[in-house]
Amino acid sequence: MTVRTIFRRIGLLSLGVLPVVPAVAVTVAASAAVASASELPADVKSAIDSGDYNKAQSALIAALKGKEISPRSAEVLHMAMLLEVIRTTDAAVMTEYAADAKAKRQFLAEFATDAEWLELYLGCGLVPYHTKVGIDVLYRIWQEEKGKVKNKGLAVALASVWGGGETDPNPPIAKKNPNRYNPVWRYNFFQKNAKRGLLHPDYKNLRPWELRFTVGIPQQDWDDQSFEWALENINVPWDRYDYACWAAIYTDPSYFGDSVQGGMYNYPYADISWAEATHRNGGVCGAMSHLGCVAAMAHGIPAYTVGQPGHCAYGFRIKRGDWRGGFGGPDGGMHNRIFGNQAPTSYLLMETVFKDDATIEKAYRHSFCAKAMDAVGDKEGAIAMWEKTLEISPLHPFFRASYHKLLKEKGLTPSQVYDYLSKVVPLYENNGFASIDMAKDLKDSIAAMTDEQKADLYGKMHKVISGTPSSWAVNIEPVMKEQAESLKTDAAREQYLAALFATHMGAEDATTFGKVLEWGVKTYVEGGNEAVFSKAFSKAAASAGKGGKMDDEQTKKMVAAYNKAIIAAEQARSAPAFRSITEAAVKVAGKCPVNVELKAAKELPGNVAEAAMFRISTTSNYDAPAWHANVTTPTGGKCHTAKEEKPYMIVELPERKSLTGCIIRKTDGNEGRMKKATVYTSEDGATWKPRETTDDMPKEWVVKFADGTPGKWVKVEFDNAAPDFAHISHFVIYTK
Amino acid sequence: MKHIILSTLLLPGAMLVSEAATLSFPEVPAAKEQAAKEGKPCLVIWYGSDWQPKVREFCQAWEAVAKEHGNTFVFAQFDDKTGLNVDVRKKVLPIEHYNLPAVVLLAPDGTFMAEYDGAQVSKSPEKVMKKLTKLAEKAPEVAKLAQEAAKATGLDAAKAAGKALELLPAEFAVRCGALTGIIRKHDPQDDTGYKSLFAMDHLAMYGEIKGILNGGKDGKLSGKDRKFDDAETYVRGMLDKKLMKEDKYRHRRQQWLAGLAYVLRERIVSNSTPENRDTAPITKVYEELIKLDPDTQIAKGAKRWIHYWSPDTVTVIENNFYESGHQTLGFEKDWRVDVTKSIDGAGTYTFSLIPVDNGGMVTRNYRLLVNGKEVAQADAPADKNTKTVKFNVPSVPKGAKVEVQLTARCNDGWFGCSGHIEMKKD
Repeated sequence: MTVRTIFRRIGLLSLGVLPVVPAVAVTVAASAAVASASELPADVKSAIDSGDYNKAQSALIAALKGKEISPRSAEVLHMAMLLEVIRTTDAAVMTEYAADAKAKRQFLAEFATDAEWLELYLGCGLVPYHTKVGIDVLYRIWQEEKGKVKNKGLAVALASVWGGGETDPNPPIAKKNPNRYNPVWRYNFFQKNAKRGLLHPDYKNLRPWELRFTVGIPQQDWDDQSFEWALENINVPWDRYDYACWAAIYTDPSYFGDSVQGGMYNYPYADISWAEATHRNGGVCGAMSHLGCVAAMAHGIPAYTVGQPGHCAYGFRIKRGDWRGGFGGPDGGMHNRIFGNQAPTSYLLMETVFKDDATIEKAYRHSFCAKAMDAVGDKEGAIAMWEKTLEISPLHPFFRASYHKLLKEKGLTPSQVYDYLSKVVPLYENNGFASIDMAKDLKDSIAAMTDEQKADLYGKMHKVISGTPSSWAVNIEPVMKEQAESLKTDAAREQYLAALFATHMGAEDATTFGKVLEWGVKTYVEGGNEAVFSKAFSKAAASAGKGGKMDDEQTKKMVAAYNKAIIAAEQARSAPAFRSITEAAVKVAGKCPVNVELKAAKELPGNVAEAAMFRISTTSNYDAPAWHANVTTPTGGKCHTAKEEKPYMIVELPERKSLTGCIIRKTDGNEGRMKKATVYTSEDGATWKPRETTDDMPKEWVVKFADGTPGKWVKVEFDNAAPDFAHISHFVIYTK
Repeated sequence: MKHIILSTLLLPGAMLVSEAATLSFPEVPAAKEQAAKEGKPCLVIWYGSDWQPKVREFCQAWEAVAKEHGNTFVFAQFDDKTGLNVDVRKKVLPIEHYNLPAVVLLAPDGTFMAEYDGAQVSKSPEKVMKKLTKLAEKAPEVAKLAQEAAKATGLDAAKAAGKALELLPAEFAVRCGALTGIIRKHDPQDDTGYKSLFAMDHLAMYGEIKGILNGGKDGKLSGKDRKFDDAETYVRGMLDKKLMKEDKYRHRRQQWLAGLAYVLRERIVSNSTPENRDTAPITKVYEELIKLDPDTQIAKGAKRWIHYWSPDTVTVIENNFYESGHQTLGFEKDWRVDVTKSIDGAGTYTFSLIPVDNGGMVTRNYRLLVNGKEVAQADAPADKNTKTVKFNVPSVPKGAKVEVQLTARCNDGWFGCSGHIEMKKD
């Protein structure tokens, strides 16, 4: 039982009172069962002492064969964990490592006999696979601490990020300067600063899987000295690390005139830490995001950098389950991750799986036993133990994959797989996208199912997906393509499309609906099957509304569905879907009633940008998404946000252009609103440069940009003293 | 018994909550109002009561300071607590800052005058108060000029704003957005000289320089066709301005000298090959820049550029790893690698560069040095591009420094050339 669990049981955590525990709390977190672990069998001990891990592996298997394998037995659990460490690291690798030096052999022997440490190492999320890197990190820390490692949780987190795991093997740490990326240095850094009280109060409660996100991954995150510099020089409220990136200036070129894209941008500061160099020299999204990320990590706050198309951002976590974005994060491709790199899918799953310390600890112990049973050849026992494991922790993808492997070895019919998945998929509520990855192990069986079974299964998957928080960064298009193509008849595919629309149209988070629409447009409309698309969409739209007593109820429902579709396309940032749905929506909603020529139309040089995409911060009952596209045209359209302190509208051009200016016109009526406003431009859709601000926006506001202002996005943001609506008829961009 | 243990455990936390450390000063809007009424500067103590380490000591120290300096300043507090919306701060304070605690000095009209952070604010407020007290004397004049600037138009506005900024240390003057904005708006051609002095950061400066180089804002000139002379004339014109020559503005001058070095560098690199290149004009400008104040960030960067462009310097590589900070892009420079620790008596040794990113790196001409003197050449010809060579290392005296010197050139940029270095006895 962990210290945290003890306090939870006596109700202190639920009262929001954190117990005063030492910074090394995590090292005493192993359970009573493990703490009282008995001695390993003599032949195992002898093999370990001699550094022969092939022999130790065989001896462990032999010893376990004669025992009841259960997590209730401390002795068995210890043996099972050691067997798992040998399997993941590889017996030959451990033997070779032990042969390298007497001290290494001694360390391995201590590690092998320390059940608590083994459990922490194996429970870290990613366990270094077929490499000596993980054990070497532990050895170096063990040496530094003269054999008495005070914070084993921190040590295993460092071993995990340095060594990777089976799904993320061999991080390219050899490419990094070992003098600037040193796990022992980082261990000392966190130990020292926890003691000084400079880290986030929750740091002391972080488990190894969370500590992975504070120590940084060497292949991507910054050097050791950056941690030191950031701790000293960036200090903001705990929840403000989304702003910490701005501690450096956003600049290109550098103080010395070098472009960030060229070779010498950072040369003048190459002998100091990356963080300090960025502070001195500035940078663009990559450097800024890394700065924000390292600032959070240095204060013991979990964080990661994230790759986005043409951009780099970061995420940080203020408390369990509460990941927030910096510089346009936290979504995209996570550089530091446990369950795949796709955020938010990856961190949502991680937070669900590791949510409760006691539960995941129990599940891991069952998993060690399941693996031990597999190793001793008791396949049926292993399957049963995996089932118990998955009852405790149903969404752990590695547990599920191990179970699937055994199921496949056993052999299941497609109908059995259908029955199994039908029960499992609904468990992925709020982690719907993870259900897709989970089912990949069984794709051959799915392919062999009947169309009816597939349609039902896909329906279940999309039901959990529709209830899952999504993001523009989640790429669901290949999934829909694969699912549609797996169906044998056109009729089944049409039904699949209609089901997709119906399921996702009702979702609270409209992003996935936008993605579905985009895929539908690309596949059917652009593929010459517009009728199929329209039929499926109309069917879904017609059944979407709650009904009313309007004369033309059907039209009203259709308009509402199209409006939702357009907003979804905007949120998904899908230009093709936005255009196609708008075209279709206008047929139902009718011609835009606004037709106002701009008075200042000739004041700006260049031409009106065409085929622009429009996006609005929020929508409201007064909004008319079908006419959003018209807002970017000289005759105007309609858009209306909800009440907000900072409502905004964004125009996205089809490509980067030289911008000459823009005209923004308020709608007729309620012109007293929207006084303070700022126009921004952006080249990446995430970094916004203010171009002009007004404290009293006129009815028709003309903003001229400096010659050669580059940009693909233009935003107008209103700054209301109290939440209020924003509504404009024109947001017309001029380009050269 | 259980209850007693529980109470004991909870006690420290309870005490922390009951003795939460905050300041007794008024909030910023109220303090600003009072400052305007009394014609005093406003000193904002910007801190965080629920996250800042040792905040209690901090508050006690500043309460004491306020008692001593209450006649000079109107003290205000901005408690940047966890959960506070960023916009709240933006509305109250005229600057952003990321290393709290900090103190911000405002003129009686609210114009930004100065900002300090770090140890002087958190540990020894008396030091920073000396500087602030001196600045406070100028606060009424700053406020008066700032108000004049806000009311005036054209060059009169820019002049008033510039005069106000002249009263501030240069590092704060450039951060006073309200006044630099007035200068930019009312004096776009820099007739007053205040724009280049206060209202052009390096981005604006390079925008101008690159525009001139390219033959105007829409110019498309490139390479050696660019207008180097025009750009040099422009930058030198800025450097010749009277205020820019004053010692007080030496840091501003450093920025423009970096701009000048950039123009010279672009001209020299575009018009010469590495073999016949005279880089002395570039390094001379950097030397002038450093002389103004060697401790600034820009001077520290300039030092490395001198090393980079000087033909006679040698790059020293320590810890057996070379990386982008050691490379020269497109031309050769000698590297010197300390291998003393690898020497175990006389014999044949293999010296290897083990690239992790090769970046088209050319390495040749390996020599062995003992105490800085060349004693042997590698087995490979001096002009052969190779990563591995052998040396016959002679006996060396105890304590002697043994190094390998080689000639290297990288043909790629960021992270282009990096790798491990090994010296092993055969």
